[in-house]
Amino acid sequence: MAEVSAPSTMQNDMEPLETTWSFIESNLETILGPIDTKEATKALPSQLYMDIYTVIYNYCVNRSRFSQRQQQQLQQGESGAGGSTVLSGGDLYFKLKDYLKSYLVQLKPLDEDYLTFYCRAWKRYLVGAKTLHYAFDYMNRYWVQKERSDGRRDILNIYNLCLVCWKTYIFDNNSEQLVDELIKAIEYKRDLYAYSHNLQACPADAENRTESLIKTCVESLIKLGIDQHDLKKVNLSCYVSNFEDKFLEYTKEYYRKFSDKVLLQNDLNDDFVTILQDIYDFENASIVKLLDDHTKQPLNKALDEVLVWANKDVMYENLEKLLILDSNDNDDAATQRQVKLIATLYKLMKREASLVPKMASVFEHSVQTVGVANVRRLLKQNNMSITPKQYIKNLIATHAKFLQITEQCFGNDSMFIKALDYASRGFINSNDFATPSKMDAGENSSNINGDEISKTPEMLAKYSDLLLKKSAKNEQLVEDMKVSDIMIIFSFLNEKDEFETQYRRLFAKRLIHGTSISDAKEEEVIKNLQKENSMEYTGKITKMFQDIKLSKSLEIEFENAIQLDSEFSRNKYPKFEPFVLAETMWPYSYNKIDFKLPKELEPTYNGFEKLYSSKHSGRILKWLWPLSRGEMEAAIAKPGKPNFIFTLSLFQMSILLQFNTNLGESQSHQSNENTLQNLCEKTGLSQIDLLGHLIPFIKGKLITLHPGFGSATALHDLTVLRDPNVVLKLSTPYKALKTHINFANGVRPDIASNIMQSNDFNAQSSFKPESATDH
Amino acid sequence: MAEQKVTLVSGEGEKFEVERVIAERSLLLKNFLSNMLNSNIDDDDTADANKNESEEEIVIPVPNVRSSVLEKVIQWAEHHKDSKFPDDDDDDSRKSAPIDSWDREFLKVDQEMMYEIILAANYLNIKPLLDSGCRVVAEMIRGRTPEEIRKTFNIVNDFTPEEEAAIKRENEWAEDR
Repeated sequence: MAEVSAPSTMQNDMEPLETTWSFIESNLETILGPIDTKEATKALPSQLYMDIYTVIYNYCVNRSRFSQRQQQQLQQGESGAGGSTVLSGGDLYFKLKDYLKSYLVQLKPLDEDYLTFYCRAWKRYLVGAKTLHYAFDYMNRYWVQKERSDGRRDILNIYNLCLVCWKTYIFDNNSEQLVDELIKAIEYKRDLYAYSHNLQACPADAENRTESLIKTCVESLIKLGIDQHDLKKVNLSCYVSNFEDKFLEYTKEYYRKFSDKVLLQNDLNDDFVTILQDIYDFENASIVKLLDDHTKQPLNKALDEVLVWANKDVMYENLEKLLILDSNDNDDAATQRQVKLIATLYKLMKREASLVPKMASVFEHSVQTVGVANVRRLLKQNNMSITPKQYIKNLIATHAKFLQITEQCFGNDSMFIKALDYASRGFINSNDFATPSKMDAGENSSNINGDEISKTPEMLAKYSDLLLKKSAKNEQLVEDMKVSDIMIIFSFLNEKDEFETQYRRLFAKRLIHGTSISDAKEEEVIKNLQKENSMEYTGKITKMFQDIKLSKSLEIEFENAIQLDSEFSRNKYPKFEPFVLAETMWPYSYNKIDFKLPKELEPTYNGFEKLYSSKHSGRILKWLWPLSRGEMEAAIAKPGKPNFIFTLSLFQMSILLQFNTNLGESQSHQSNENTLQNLCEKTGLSQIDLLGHLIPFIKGKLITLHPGFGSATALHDLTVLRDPNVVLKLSTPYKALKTHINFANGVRPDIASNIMQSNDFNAQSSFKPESATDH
Repeated sequence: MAEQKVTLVSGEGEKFEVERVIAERSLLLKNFLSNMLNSNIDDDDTADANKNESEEEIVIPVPNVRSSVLEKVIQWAEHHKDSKFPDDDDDDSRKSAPIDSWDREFLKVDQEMMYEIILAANYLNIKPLLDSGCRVVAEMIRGRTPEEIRKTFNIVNDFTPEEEAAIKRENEWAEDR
C-alpha cells in the first residue's frame, strides 16, 4: 500500500493529536475572525483550506488504522475475533468544541450597541462556521455520522456545532438585551411610519437601524433553532420562544397606546378606518418582510385584537354613519369615497368573523332607515303628491344604491345580501307613503291599523301600466322605465295578491281598449311575474290574455258567418268586435241594467248569440252594455261638409239613434227634438244612466236644451235636467272644429249622480258590444 | 463561466488545469469553489459574487494525491462530465446499481493504482468513483476462499494454525456449501 504524502506541517507521527490540533488551532482565528477588530477579514485561501482538510484527513485515516491495529492486538489475546472498525475524530471534535467556547466568551461589543455587535459578529462567525464545516468535511462524513447513527444525538456536524456553541455562549447569555434592542429597532420603523403620516412626533434617531441589521438578527434567531434529532428540519423554537412571543406582546401594547392616542383623538373622523387599514398594510408590507413568515399570522391576530376588536363599537357607529350619509347626494367623488370607506371598514371587521353578523344587522337597519327617509323627502319635495314613476324610481334608487354597496363593499357576502333583502322588503312595503297611518303611529305600534294595505302594490301596478300603455305623450316619460324595475320591486312585495288585483284591473283596460304597446311586451312582463312567483299567480292574467286572442278569432268567424246571410249588408251588420271574457278572471262584474238594444244592432246581437251557442252549447253570454262602445257616422254637418264620425258609448249611440228615429217618424212636431222622458222610454235607460252619457253631448253642444228650459251648458245649470220633461234638441247642422269627436271618454256618471243627488250609477260604455260568458 | 478553469496541484507539485465542472465532481473541491471562494465577509451583502471567478486564477492543492492518480481521477471525471449519479442520500439505488461498464474497464489497473484511486476518491469525496472502486474490490473477494483472497491481495497469514481452526469452527454455519 502506498503511503499518502502528508503536508509538511504534519510529519511528526509521535504525537499526531497534538501536532494536528496545534496546526488547526493556529488557523482557527483566521477562519472565525479575529476577536478584537470590527474589520472584515478575507475568506480562507485555498491552500489553507486544503491543508486543514488534509491534516484532519490524515489524522483520521492514520488514527483509524492505528487504533485498528491496537485493538486487534488487544483482542487477539481474549477472543481471537477480528476487531471492528473504529473511526477517529472525537478528540479533534471536542478540542474544537472547547476552542469555540473560549473563543466565543471573549467576543464582546467593541464600542457599539449590542444589536450592532451581535449582527456584525454573527455574520462573520457564520462564514467561519461554514468554512470550518467544509474543512472538517472528512470528520463530518465519517466520525460524526457514525456517532449520530450510533445514537449520539448530541454530536453534531461542525456547522451545527458552531451554531449551538454560539447559542450557548453568546445568545443565551444576552438574549434579553438583544431581543429588546431588536424590538426597539422594529418599533422605530413603526414610529417612523406614523410620523410620516402625521400621526405622531418624529422618533428619536438613536433607534434607527438599517433593515438589514434587523433581518440579520432575525435570521440568526431562526438559524439557532436546532433540532438535535433532525438537523435538516426547520425549527423555529429559538425564534418563537425568545423573540416572537415577546414581539407580539410589545406589538399589542404599541398599538393599544397608538389606538388610544391617535384614533380616539380623531374620534369618529372618517380617516379612522383608513388609518387602521393603513396600519395593516404597513405591517404586512414593511414589518412582516423583516421577520419570518411564521410571524405573519400571529402578528395579524395581535393587530386584530387591539385594532379591530377593541374598537368594534366605534366601528359599528362609523358604519352606520357612513351608510346613512346623505344618500341623495349625486356627488360622484363623495359616493366613491363613501363606498371605499365602507369597503375598508368591512375588510377590517371581517378579520374578526364574529363581528360580521352585527355589521349585517347595522346594515339592514341603516338601509331601512335610508329607504324610508328617501320616500319621506320625495313626498316633501312634491307636496305629498307623487306619481307612480317618482315613487317606484325612488324605491329602486335606494335599493340599487345598497345593492351596489353590497357588491362593492361587502363582496356580495350572503349575510349582507340577506340583510339588504329584509331591509328592502321593509321600506318598500312600509313607508310614509305606502302606509301613512302605520308610520304615523311609530315603529313600535305596528299593530295599530295592522290591516292597512300598502300602497306600493297599487303604485307598482300603475307603474307597469304606464310602461305598457300605448300613448304618444308617454314616450319620453317611459324612456327610463324598465320591466326589470317592476320585477325588482315586485320581488319585495308583501301583498302580491293586491298587486295582482290592481295589475289585472289596468291590464283589462289595456286589452279592451287596445292600448297595450305590444303583445310581446305584455307577455314579457307576464312571463317574468310567473318566473318570480308561480303559474297560479299569473293564471288569471294569462287567461285574460287568451280571452282576447280567442275573441279575435271569434270575430273573424262571426264576420265569415254573416257574409253567408243572403241579406248581408253593412247596414244590417255593422262591423262588430266582440270580447268574450271569462267572468271570474276579469275585474268586471255583471250588473243587470235596464236597456233596450237599438233595433239597428239586433241582427248582430242575434247572429252572435246564435253562433256562440252553436259553438259552445250550455254557455251563457251576459252582455256588459255599459262597457260597450263604437263609432257612428253622423250626416248632420252643413251641406257640402264631410260627415262627422263620433266615438260613442253604446248608450250614447242609442240616444242619438232616437233622434234618427224621430226624423223618420211623422208624429213628432219637430224632428230633432226629444224630451228626456221620451229618451228614457225609448232606450230603456234610467234617467240617471242616461244623463251620465248625455252630458258629453251637451258639453260638446251636439245636443242643446230647448230655449224654454235654458240654453246654458255650464254644469251648475244642469240641475234643470232633473226635470224629465226637459226638451233636448239635436244641433243640425252641427258645427265643430274636428270631424272625429270622442264623446265616449266624457261619460260622467259622477256628475249625473250629483245632478240626481243619488248614488245609483254605473260605469262607462262603448259600442263594441261587450259580452261576458258564463257557464 | 462555463469555461472557467481550475488548476489542481498534485502531491508532487505538478499542475493540472481542468474545467471547473470537472473539479466539482469532487465534493471537497466543490464545497470550496461554490461556498467559500466568494463568501463575503463584508457588510455589503450585494457585493459582486463573480469577481474572483472571472479575474483570478483558482489554484487548489491536493497534496494527498499523486500525479499519476490525479491524472486517472481527472480522466474519470472527464468521462463522467455529463453523467447523472443517483442522489447521495439514496443509498438503495446506489447499492443496487451494477458497476458502470466504463468504470469496470477504467479500474482494470494494477492493485496499487486501484487502491490509490479509491483513497483519492475518498479523500476528494467523489462518491460514484468510490462506489465503483469498492464494488470492484468486493467482486474480487466474493466467492473465494481465505487462501485465495490472501493470495489475491498479497496478505501474510498472521494467524497460528490453532487460531485459524478455531475461527473456522466458529464460522462454519456461514460456509457456503
